[in-house]
Amino acid sequence: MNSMRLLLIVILTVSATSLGRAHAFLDHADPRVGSTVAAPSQVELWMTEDLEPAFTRIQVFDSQGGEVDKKDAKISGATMIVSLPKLGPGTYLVKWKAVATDTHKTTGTFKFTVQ
Amino acid sequence: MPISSFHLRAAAFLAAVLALVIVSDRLRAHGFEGDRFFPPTISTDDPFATDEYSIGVSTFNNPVAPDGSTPKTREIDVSSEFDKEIFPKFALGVTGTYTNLQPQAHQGPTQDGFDNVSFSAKYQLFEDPAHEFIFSLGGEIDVGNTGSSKLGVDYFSTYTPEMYFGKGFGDLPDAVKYLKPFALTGTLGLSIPGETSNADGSLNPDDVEWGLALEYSIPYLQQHVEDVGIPHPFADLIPVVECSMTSPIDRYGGTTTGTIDPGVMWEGKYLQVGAEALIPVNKTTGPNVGAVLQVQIYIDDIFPKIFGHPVFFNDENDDENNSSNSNK
Repeated sequence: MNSMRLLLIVILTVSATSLGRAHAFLDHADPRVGSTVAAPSQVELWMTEDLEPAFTRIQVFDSQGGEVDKKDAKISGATMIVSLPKLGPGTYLVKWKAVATDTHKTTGTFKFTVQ
Repeated sequence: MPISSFHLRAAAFLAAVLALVIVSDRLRAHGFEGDRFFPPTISTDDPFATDEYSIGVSTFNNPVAPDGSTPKTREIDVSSEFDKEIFPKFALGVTGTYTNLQPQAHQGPTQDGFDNVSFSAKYQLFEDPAHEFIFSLGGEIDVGNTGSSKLGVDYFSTYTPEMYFGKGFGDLPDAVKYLKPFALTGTLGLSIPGETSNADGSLNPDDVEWGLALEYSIPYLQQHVEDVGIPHPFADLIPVVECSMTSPIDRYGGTTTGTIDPGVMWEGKYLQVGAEALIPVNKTTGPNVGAVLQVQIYIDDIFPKIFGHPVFFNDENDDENNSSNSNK
């Protein structure tokens, strides 16, 4: 198994240097993905890559499919933020589209619940 | 066992490829359907017609041939596959494998050489991003007599029309939300040899080639279902169980052979690294558990002007529906 060990060492050594993604994926969010929280004043997403503001968007929808955010999204570096009005109890859907500065596009959704 | 020149050459080649990736500052490819990223699986083919390059190393012990013509043999394969999207959702590929055969118990000399070259085609026929579903058609041609005669490669070509599918379970109800990160991909094909019999009178059966891959995506869990606080690098892991089977259907082809392959894939910035055990399903398949390591390299990010889009009819708005290839 010496050959397999050697290859494993090479691969793991190389891989240890690469801990991000060239595509912009969601790293974490506030409110956190799938969390139950008091009514937040905004949704903020931290992505894994810097974003191209002109082509990046974030929206928040209620359970009826109506957009509830204030449509004032701010994109800076690897983060995107959109403000919210006072939300009532319920489950809300966050939809995002991210275009990284190298033009790679990704999209995603997640939910959070307001108590 | 000492490291042979074959092993060193294989390691050097792999290191050179990885070094090429490291110096690049961009990367990544592959198939998306809705929120789902389908990673390229190791033992079975994924349903996406994308620009891909992979290199893999596997080791496995082959059993003694039923007629005693070949001894128990340790086989090490270094395989490489390149796929290029030609038209939107249609890709062509080529696969080469360098094989090292080591007869056990000193029953013969070690043999090295290339296996037959294989060409493939794939078309993404149907996609439903909302339900994370994709269905593709394609096939492979294993071109006879293109490999090393020392390995006893087939002198005839083999034709395998195939279908492929992928289904993510993100559309399950929230009541079972922790099942949403599961995804299933599979292939089903009919392998048809160009010659039904050989000069020694032995027969070449038609085979049903089938495989499945069941995976649980930690990235999907954290990004789309619930951030449970799993830190990197564990947040980048995708545990997987694959099976890859061959079932002869005529000409006294014998029993089904294949392996069950539990393993894990790690999604990095520049590549995917996967490892699996190869557990034979019966004695006919093999006497021992094997192993495979695979590195998937996203060439469209290394050479974005060349790869990551079809050669013809490139549609810049193709991913507006959040499906298919990510690199447009």
